[in-house]
Amino acid sequence: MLKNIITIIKKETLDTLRDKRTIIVMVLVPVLVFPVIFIATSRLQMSVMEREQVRSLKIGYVSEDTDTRIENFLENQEKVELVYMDDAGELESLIRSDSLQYGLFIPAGFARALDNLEETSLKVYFSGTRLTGKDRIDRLLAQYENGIINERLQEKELTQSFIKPFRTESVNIATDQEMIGKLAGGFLPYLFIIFCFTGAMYPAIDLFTGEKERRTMETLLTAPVSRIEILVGKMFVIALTGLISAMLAIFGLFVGLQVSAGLPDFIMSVVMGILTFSFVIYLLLMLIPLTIFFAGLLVPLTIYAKTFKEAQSIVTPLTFIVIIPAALGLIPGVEYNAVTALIPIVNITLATKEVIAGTIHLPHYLLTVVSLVGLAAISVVFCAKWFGKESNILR
Amino acid sequence: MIEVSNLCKEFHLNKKQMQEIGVKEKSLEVLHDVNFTCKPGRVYSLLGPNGAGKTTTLRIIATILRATSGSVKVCGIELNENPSDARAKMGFLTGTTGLYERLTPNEMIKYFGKLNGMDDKLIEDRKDRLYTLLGMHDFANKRIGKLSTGMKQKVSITRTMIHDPEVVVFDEPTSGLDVITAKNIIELIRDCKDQGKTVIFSSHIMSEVDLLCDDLGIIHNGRILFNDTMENFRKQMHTDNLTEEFIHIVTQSEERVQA
Repeated sequence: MLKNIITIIKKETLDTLRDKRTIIVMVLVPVLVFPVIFIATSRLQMSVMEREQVRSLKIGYVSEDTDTRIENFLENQEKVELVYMDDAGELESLIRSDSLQYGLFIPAGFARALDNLEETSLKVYFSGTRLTGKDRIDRLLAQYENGIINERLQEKELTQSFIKPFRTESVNIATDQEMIGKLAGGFLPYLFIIFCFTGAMYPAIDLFTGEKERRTMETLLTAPVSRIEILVGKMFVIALTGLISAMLAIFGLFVGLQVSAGLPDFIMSVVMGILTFSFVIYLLLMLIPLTIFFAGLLVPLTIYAKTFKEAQSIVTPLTFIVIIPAALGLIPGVEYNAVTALIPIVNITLATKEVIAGTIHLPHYLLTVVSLVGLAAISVVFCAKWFGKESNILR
Repeated sequence: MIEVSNLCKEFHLNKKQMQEIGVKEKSLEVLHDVNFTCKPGRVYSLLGPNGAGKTTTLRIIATILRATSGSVKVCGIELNENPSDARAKMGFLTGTTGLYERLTPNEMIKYFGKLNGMDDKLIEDRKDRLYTLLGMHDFANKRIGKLSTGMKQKVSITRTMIHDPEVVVFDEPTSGLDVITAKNIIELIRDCKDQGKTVIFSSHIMSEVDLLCDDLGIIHNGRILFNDTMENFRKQMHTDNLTEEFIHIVTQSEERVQA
């Protein structure tokens, strides 16, 4: 029996590796997607930021006040160009057309109100669609405001503690690893659950529906091998491709993080520290039954479908059914406990978060692994029954 | 040897299938009490119009389908009891047999050889003999997807014969093939007969049957209407032409059913 299964596995692996579509979905996409996204976004972000930093600020300036102190302040700043205008109505259209970055409207009596310690206001025009928002003008205005506060404090011979009586010193008791595990750790399982499923999808369609469509299934069924041997051999390859795809996605993510610039060093060191031997073992113990379970979900549908197209239309919506529980585990407040440890897919997201954070509760983890193995076993038994029905195979 | 006794087959239909076929019953009887025997060294032809039950019968013999009732024995092995052993004695080929397009003929033949329990040396020896016989050495390492229809059919023949089966089942083997490729199949059937193998093939082409068969079974609406030697078929003919006689038998059967 094992000899036949190995023969089928070898053949199906070779056949799958020669399928361009599977290679793209199983290898290229998971490996490249994160490095490409990270490099592209970090490069784009950096170039935009750099450009914005060196770019002269063009501020449309409309003033009804005769005092020019704020105007002088702004004029003396580096890379600031004031464009004097008479009408505030023009500011909006010029900002919209990118002729100006900001607009400033100073009402009459603004400076006098400041001198008299009265409350006053000015208006800042900006476009929220710009990456930099109104950071630069806020910084300039805060600088001007601090200058006024300091003058007032000096005048009254007061110190900074007069307006800021105490400082708050925060002591975070969570380690960096715990923080990343709990806050961002859910993203990792979400990622490999999706790639595990999509990686297994095309081989499943090819190995079952494809065989039916190409009329090789009936040839295979006339060979002296049992249907269970055929099923196990094919399911093994499907699960293996899902597993490889998930692992490659994680590898791609780590490579992507390393090549992308902009992440603080402490995050990088924690992220790289996650890849320990025990983490990989914890992950594999969950991923292996999960991929078998996924294969068990996909196989009956791909056996049932008559054509590749039909199989795709049946199987693709299933991706959302997989994504939803994977995303549930990302919601803050959804905790890993004896109940959630038993909910398929959700349990993997939560358990991985705990493993990354280093706070995994072993009995819950074992509950997850056992429940996943149980599900995988049920799915294999169901597939065997389904594959045994001639109405499904020769539909 | 193939022994088919009281073979019946019913297909269970779902609502969509019932609508498509236009029947009200949830089951459709496609074979009814079919009996015949195919002997070693002889070619048995199962002749019938489209939808007569030829493919279903051959698929049951090849263990792709299970009989609802009745018995089929291949080389003395009861299919229901030991289908794997029976499959090891059989080769199955159809005119529309698919091949693994991403594999080479060598890889595909080795795969089926292994599934038939052959060791590497035996596979190589047998493959080499068949390649020489069919002139396949030149394209043995090319991807099957890039081969011509004729070359593909040769790969199918080698795949069917690699384990030197005692029984060979051909389901409309020349259907959709060009004249030269069809000739290869006809020669293969003759070779099998000369080697003392049991051969059964289905067809709806009388000339093909006339050319090859020793024993004839005419099937229509899942029932065997004639089952005897080709010689006896010729003796009892009511017309001069084999095709006319076949049509006569089928028409008579339909008239009996209608009456």
